[in-house]
Amino acid sequence: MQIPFVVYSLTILIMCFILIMTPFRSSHDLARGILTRPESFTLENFIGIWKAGLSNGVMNSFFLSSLTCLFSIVIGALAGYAFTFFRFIGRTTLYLFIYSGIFISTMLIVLPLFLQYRDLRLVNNLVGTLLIFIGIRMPFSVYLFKSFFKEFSSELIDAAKMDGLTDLNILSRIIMPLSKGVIITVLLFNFSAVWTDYLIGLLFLQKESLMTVMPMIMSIFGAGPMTTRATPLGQGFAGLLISTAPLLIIYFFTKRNYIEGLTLGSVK
Amino acid sequence: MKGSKFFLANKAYFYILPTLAIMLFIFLNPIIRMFIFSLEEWRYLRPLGFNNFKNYTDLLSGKHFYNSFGNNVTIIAGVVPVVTLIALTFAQAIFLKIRGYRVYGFLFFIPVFMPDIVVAQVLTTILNKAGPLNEFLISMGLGALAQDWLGSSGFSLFSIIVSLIWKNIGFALILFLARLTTIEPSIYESAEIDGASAVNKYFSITLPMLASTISIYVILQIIGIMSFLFSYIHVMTAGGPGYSSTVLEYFIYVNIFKLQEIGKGSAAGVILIIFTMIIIYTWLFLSMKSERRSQRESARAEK
Repeated sequence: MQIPFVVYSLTILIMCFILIMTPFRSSHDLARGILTRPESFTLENFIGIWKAGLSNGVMNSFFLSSLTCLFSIVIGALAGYAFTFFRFIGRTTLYLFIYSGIFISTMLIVLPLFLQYRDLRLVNNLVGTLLIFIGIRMPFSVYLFKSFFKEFSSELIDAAKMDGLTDLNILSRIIMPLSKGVIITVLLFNFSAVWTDYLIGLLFLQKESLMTVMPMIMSIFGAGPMTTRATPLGQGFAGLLISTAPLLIIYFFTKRNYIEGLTLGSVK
Repeated sequence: MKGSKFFLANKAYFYILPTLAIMLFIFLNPIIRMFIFSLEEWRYLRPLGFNNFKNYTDLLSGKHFYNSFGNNVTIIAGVVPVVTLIALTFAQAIFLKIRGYRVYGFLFFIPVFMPDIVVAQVLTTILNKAGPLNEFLISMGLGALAQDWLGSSGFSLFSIIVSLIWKNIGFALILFLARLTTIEPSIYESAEIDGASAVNKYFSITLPMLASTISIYVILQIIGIMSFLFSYIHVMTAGGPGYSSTVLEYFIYVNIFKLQEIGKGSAAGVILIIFTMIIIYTWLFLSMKSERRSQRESARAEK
């Protein structure tokens, strides 16, 4: 009866084995095959690919991911607050518009955006690309904040108002400190979305010094600046591991937030 | 001050202004332009003017568009039921704390956290015609089962489906488990007193209570397959061979960035977004209706 469990677990363990062990093996060892028992231990793959340019990629990706998180939290919390506690014309329509953005494929916006960016000379520009990432993450961020803020009782807000607090005060001094959970959740989702992005980085950051981590690593396996500079098996997998490790660590510490984020709107 | 009075009277709009401004630029602006592009004739990346819907007629009279859309449907049909069944089983078993449930709970979430690109690339390495999977099959004497998993038109789509199933079991599992833990045990206890068997309890209590969660998973998975599959396809099969594993989203990519058929690609994009919006708004409408119905029922029950 436990067979499906064991089978699925085995596949996961094999994946983890390949992802984690391969980068630590020498190319001589790997020539025997990727699923063979490791006979070597070396850090040369990591050092090699780091020096070949991954350090830049990591820095660029980190820059984009963390700033996207910062802006999406500030802007998203403001919008979430307004949608939850203010009554205004167009409240439902505007929220629906924002919410729909969650489901729109990135592929649908990249061409027109790229053409405009090209005319504005914003291609190969980190700040311009940052704007795109922030825009893409806003729908989900606003959704999370609104769903979470809904749980605050309006009596709390009224009491605070009677004490003479302005809305911004309420937001920053009462609501946000109580929202650590949703803030971490937004951080979690947005950071990993920008970190693991492939299409936007591929199109908008083609200059080598500006590349983000995923397109850079994939160019080892396909076509791109890293193709001749790194070996697919050893160093390519080192790159894959380096790019996955921060996520695994973050998720390990925030698993509860991840579950919360997925179920916030759906479980009553 | 007049200024602050204006601000206070319309403060909500100021709060949502940054969000709206960004979204107008990043979403609405490109999509409107995509609609316009789809109506134009494009040569050498320059639009030449209104096209008389030629892009659409070309699209709908060729077979690649239908193939791509059909591939989307095939993937949905292959992934959604299988993941749902497996995840329901796993969720129930983990919830009932079978032997080793903690280990399984930990392991099964790992594919969810791994980036799409990483999963796609590792699987590409494994499924390579000369790679470990085929080597393993041959060494076990099952050489007849060895295929060109990613490079043959017969199996490319199949490999994508299996990869998506592998990755998304954990995702559905998280949703189902979270729901299961919110069902009050007292419901089961009173059912047991009434003599319900385990099967009874599952189909009369558990499953109906999971229904909304299942539908959320189904919708999210469908949207994921329609809108967010680029990484997998591009890394694993590049839509090929030919168009055998191309989906609508990738078809748009190929047209716009490889074939420079901007008009046709944009037309396909228009169709994709209309389709996506229909799915989302239908689902929203239905879930709001059922929410209102259950609100009315609980209000009636309280009387």
